[in-house]
Amino acid sequence: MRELLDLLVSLAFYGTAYGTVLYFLAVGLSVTLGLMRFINLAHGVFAMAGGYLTVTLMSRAEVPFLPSVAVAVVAVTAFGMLLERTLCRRFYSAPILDQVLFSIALIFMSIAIARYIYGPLAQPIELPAWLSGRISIGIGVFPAYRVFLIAIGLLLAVAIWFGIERSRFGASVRAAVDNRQMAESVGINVNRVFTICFGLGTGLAALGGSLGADLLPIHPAYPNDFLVYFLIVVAVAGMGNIGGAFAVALGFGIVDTIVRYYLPDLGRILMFLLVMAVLFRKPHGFAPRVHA
Amino acid sequence: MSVLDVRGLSKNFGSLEVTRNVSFALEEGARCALIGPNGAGKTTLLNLISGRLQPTAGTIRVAGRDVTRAPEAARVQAGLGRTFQITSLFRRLTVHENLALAVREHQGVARLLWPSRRVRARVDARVAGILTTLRLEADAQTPVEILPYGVQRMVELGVALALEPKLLLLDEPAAGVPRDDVGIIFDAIAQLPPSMAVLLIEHDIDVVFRFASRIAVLVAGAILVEGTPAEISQHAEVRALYLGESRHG
Amino acid sequence: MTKTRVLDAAVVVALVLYPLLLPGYLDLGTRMIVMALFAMSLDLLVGYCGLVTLGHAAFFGVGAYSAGILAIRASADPLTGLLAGGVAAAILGLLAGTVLLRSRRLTLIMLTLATVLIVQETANRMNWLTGGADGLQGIDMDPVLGRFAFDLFGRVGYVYAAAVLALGFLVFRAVVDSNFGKSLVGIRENEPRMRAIGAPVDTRLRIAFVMSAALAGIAGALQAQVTEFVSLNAVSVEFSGEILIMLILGGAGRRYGAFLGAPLYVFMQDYLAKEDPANWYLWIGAMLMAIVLFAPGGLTKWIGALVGRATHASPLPGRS
Repeated sequence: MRELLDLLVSLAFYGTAYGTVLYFLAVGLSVTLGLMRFINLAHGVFAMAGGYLTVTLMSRAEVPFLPSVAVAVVAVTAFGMLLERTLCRRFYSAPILDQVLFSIALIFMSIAIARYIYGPLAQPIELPAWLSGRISIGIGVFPAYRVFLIAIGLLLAVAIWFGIERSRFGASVRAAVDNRQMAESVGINVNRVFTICFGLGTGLAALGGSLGADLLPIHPAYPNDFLVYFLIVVAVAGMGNIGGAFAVALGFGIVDTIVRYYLPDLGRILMFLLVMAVLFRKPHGFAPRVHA
Repeated sequence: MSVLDVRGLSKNFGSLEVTRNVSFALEEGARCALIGPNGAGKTTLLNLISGRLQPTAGTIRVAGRDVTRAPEAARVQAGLGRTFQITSLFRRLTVHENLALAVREHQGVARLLWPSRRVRARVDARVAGILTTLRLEADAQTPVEILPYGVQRMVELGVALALEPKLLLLDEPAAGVPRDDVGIIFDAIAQLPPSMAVLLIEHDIDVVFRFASRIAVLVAGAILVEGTPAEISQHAEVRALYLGESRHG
Repeated sequence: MTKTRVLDAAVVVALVLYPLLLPGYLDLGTRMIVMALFAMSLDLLVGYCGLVTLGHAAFFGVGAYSAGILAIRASADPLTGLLAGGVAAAILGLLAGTVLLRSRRLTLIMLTLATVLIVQETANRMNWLTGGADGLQGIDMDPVLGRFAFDLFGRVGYVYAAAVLALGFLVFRAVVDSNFGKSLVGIRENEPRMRAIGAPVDTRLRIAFVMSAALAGIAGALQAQVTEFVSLNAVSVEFSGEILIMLILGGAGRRYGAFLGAPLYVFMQDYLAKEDPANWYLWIGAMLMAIVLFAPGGLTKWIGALVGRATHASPLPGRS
C-alpha cells in the first residue's frame, strides 16, 4: 500500500513536471488564438529556437544555464515580435486554411534550418550541478531539475493570472479578446496589445523549450513531434481560457504519465481516445463560453 | 392556432438575465414590431426563437409544434425564416446561387447527388420568381460581395423568403443601408404575402408605426408593454423611456 | 459549362498522352496518379466543405493496409482490393467523422492529427499483421480483371491507375456539380446561414467526410497494389501535410487543383529531393509560403486569372 502510494506520488510528480513544460508551450498559443483568432501551428518553432539557443550558448560560449535561458527567451521574444509585425499580422483575418498553410511553411523551413545547422540528432543539455541532484520537498525526494521546473511553472502561472486578471495591460487584453472594435473605441491600441501578447507567447514557448530541454529533447522535428500535445492543451482548455490551460496541461501531463506507466503499449492511443471523448462531450473545451 | 407562441421564455448568461419571462403570440398575418433601447435583448430574443441560442426556461411553439429544444433546421421546417442584423450571406457566390441554396433546402432537393432536369428547372423557376419580386434580376449573376450594401440587404430578405416561411423574423432589415435606399426595402416588406406573420425589430419609429399593427416594447429583457401603435404612443413609460430619446435610431 | 467540359476532357487526354510522351517514366506517372486521386479526395473536405485536416493519411493508410493484407491473406484480385480499401476507409471515416465534426477550427485540426497518430500507432503495434516499421511486404496482385497481369515496366499499373483516377474524377465531378456539392459550398462559405435556412449541416458534412475517406482509401489501396508495399509513412502526419500541400499547390476547391498540384509536387520531389534531399523541406516551406503570400488559390487560380485576362473574361470567383 505504502509502495503504491509512493509510486502514485512519484508518477504524479513526473506528470506535473511534464505538464508544466506543456503549459509553457501552450499558453502563448492559447493567447494568440483567443486574441487574434490566429491558429499558429508553428508555435513549437519558438520553443525549439529557445532550446537550440540555450544549448548553443552553453556549449559554444560556456555561458551558465540560467543566463543562457534568459538570453534565449529575450532573443526569441524579440524575434516573435518582429515576425508578428511583419508576417503573422497579415493572417489574422485570413481564412483558417491560409493560417494553417503559413504555419506549416514556417515549420518546414525551421525543421530544414535546424537540421542544416545542428544535424538530425537531439542536442543534449548539460544541466548545472545544482539541478542534477535530488532534493527533498516534504512529500518525498525528487530530481532537483523537475522540482525547479514545477516551481517556475507555478510562479509563472500565478504571474500570468495576475497579469491578465489584475493589471491594466491585462484588462486591455481581455477587452480586445471580447470585442476588438469596442476596445479600439475606448482608446486601447489593439495592434500594440497584439504585438506584445504574441511576443510574450513566443517568449514563454522559448522558456518551455529551453528549460524543458532535458524533458522534451531539442531536435529538428520538435515543432512537429510535440504539436499535437500543445494543441490538445489549448483545445481542451477552450479558446482563450488562459487560466484553464494550466489546469489542463497539468491534468494531461499527470494522466498521460500514469497511463503510459501502466499501459506502455496502448498509452498513446488511449490518451488520444480520451481527449476525443472529452471533446465529443464538450466540443468547445472547458472554456466558460462567451456569447456575443 | 398561433403561428408563434412563446411562453415564459428566459435566458441567462451566467448570472446575467438577458431575457426575462417573455410571453407573446403571433397569429397568421400578424405584423408585429419589437422595439426597445439598445441592449434590451431584442436580438437575443430573436436568436432564441430561431434556435441559434438555447433558452434557460420557457417554451417556443411554431405553428403548433414545440420547437423549444429543436435544432435550427427543424424550426425552418416548421415554418420559420429569419434575416440577420449584420448581413449573413454566401458572399462569394452569386445572388442566384444564394437564393438557389435556400430554395433547394425548402424544396427538399438539396441533398440530391443526381438532380433531374425537372428538379433543377423547378429550383430555377422559383429563384427567378424571387428575383422578380425583389427586382434583383439584373444582379442575378453577380457575386454578393461586390454589390452595394442596400442590394445585399434585399438578397438577405430574398434568402429568407425563399423558405416561404409562415413566420418571418426581420432583425433590423435596413440597418446600415443608406437613407435613400431604406424605402425600397420597406416597400418590399410591405408587399410580403398577407398570410405571413412578421416580427420586425427596427429602430426607426416612423417605420415601425407605419408597418406594425401590434408593438411590443422590450426593456431589460422583459416585455414592458404590448399593444396597438395608438396604445403604445400613449403609454407614459414608453414615451419617457424610449420614444423621446431615440428618434434617430 | 462548356468550358468545364473541355477542361474535364483535357484531364483525360493528359492521362492518355503521358505514357505516349514519357514511356520511360511510367512509375513516376503512376505515383502522380495515385497522389492526384488522394489529393482529390482531400479537396472534397478542404476545398468544398472548408474543413482543414492534417490527418487525411489515416484513410489513405487504412485503405492501403486493407488492400495489402487482403491480397496477402485472402484475395489478390485488384478490384476486390480497391473495394475493400474504400469500404474500410469509409467505416473509419464514419467513426472519425461522427466524433470529429462536432468541432471546428483548431480543435478539429488537433483531432485529425490525433486520428492519424492513433491509426499509425495501431499499425505499428500490430506488426504481426501489418509488418510494423518494416512495412507490409509480400503483396502479389493477380491480373486486373483476370486478364492483365502487372508487368515489370509498369504499363498495366499505369493504365489501371489511370482508369481508377478517371472513374474517381467522374464521381468527384458528379458530387461537386450536384445539389449536394453546392450545399457543401454553402456550408464552406457560411455555415451559420446554412443552418438558418434549414440545412442539416452535420449530416451533410458527415456524408462528405465518408465520401472523402472512401476515395482516400481507394487511393491507398491503389498505391498498395501498384507498389506492392505499404509503409508506416502512409499513415503519418508528414504525409497528411504533404498531400495538403499538393492540393494547395494546385488550388483547393477549384476542381482541377489535385490534377495540377499532385503531379507537380511528385515531379519536384523526384528531382529536388534526389539532388538535394537535406533542403527539400526548406524548398517546400519556401514554396508554400510564396503561395500563401503571393498566389492564394494556387496554380489553378493563377492560370485561370492569366487566361481570364487574355480572353477578357471575368476571372473565376476566387477562394483564397
